[in-house]
Amino acid sequence: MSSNITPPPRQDVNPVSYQIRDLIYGVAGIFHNDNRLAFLEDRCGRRMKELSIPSLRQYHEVLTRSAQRTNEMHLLLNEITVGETCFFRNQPQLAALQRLVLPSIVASKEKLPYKHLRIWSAGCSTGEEPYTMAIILLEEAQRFLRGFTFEIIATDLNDRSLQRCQEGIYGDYALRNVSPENLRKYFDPVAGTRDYRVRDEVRRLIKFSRVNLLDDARMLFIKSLDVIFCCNVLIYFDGASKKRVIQHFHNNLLPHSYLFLGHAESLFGVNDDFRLVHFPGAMAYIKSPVKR
Amino acid sequence: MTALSLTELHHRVETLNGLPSLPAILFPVLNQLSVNSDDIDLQKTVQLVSHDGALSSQVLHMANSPLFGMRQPVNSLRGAALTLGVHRLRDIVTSCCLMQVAPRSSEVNAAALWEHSLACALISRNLARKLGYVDPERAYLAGLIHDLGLLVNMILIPKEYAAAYKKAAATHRSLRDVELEEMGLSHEITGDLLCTHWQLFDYLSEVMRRHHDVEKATLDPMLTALVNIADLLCRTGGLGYGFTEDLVVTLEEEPAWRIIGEHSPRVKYLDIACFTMEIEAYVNEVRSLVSALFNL
Repeated sequence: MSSNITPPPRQDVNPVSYQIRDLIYGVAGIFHNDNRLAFLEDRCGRRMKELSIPSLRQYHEVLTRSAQRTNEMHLLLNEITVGETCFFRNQPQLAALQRLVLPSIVASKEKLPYKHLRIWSAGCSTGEEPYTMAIILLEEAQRFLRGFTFEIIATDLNDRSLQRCQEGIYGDYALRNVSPENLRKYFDPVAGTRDYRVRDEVRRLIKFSRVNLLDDARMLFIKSLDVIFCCNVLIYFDGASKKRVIQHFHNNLLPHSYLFLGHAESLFGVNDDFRLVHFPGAMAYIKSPVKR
Repeated sequence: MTALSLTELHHRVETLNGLPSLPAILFPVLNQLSVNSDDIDLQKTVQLVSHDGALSSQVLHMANSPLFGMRQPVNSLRGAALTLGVHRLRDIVTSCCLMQVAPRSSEVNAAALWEHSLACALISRNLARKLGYVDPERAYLAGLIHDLGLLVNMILIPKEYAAAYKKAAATHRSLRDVELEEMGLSHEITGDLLCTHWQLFDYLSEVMRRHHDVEKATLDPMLTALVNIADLLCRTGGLGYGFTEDLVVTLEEEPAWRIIGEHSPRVKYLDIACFTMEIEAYVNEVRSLVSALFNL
């Protein structure tokens, strides 16, 4: 873990925030840079209010020393990741997918007789991520993806979330990044509400199913993938489980294919078989064909 | 477009056809790089800077930026020097001096160039520290000046350079590739000429000349490699030249990364993803600082 950060700690930030930041990075691999420390303090504040804990220092003790520390860390991680789901959430990441990753995959498949693209949204939550990908694929279907067939596998552990995915009905908050043009093309208004339902042509591209990423037997059968998105899921796993899941991802991807994690997640110390790739404003991991 | 001949460019540089002279204060400030920090005359540096009112305001503004770690606001050069230390003050003075050289009205985005340069300086120094490079302050300076050739282009060949810049921005391509394509030369060459003209140190000249061609660096390959990596991280991290490049960078496959690995065993322990996230915090600070300095 890196702690030698310049510029030096800011005066307007509680020093305990840095300790909690480092703790979260160590446990979950999710990093809050200096610009996100206020957000982190706010989320800790919600938990502190719930537990009636007056100071950040005391809350740090709950996270590190109390019998409830594992459970409390889980609840804090929930606070950190909750409410961030929406369509077209991480735009630099999606731009990298659309402008750079997909064209490179298309180029690598140019000479194949059967042109198929297989993407996995692992931990798809309530469906915004896989539906966003489906829209991107449909947008490109008449351009550089002409002649390709697509398949998006969207999995989650939570049955209620999967139920929401199947319904495909979303409100203002989830749709806030969808352009008016895309809203018109890919959604229908739900009568009597302000919600919209994803159209069948989008839904048709996605296969939703319940998968536990720690279920080795299931993981063995999700093969020949071009891209995996697994955002803010691995943060809940312990080190050994995380390594196991990442190794499955590595096995399931085709050579030179990509794994996208959440914005602040890192694979450092988890797996050496992927190589980190920088795109404009985003990072991903590429399956390295050479085992070091 | 007809490629500009190198002879013609040399001629323009040698005849100072619009090229600014080295800011008077910069040479003594840079000379302090080769002096032991104990021997640096702080009072003399403060006096030198205070003679230039505009420069003094810029230096104070920059010294108060969170990027330079000031804990308490300072309102005097001497206070800044005492609080930040002579090395940081020197970095700040150098940055402000060079920024004064930038043309304020140009068809290209000069502020973006300085955002890129300042970010590259900060990242080069940060990376140098993490990897145990012997002189992190030198890395700051090298990062700051590595693209000065672009400034030369803006001033000496404005039309040709503006056309190349616009084409690179419109096509999301590397500015250097388009420079070579459109002008027949790139900013490393013009930067090197500027170094000679300004009589800057050889190692700075090498960084200017070789930061895209690191395997040819011989004087200080690690320094050139550090700047190359910092440059790539800036360009993928939103602090490029004012437009988005379609860049895909695997640092571990870059020649500069191999060179760094040959000089620093610490590279194996550097969490690049985490380092990238750390430097994301620079983006807004660097932008607002450069914007403020340009408007002072």
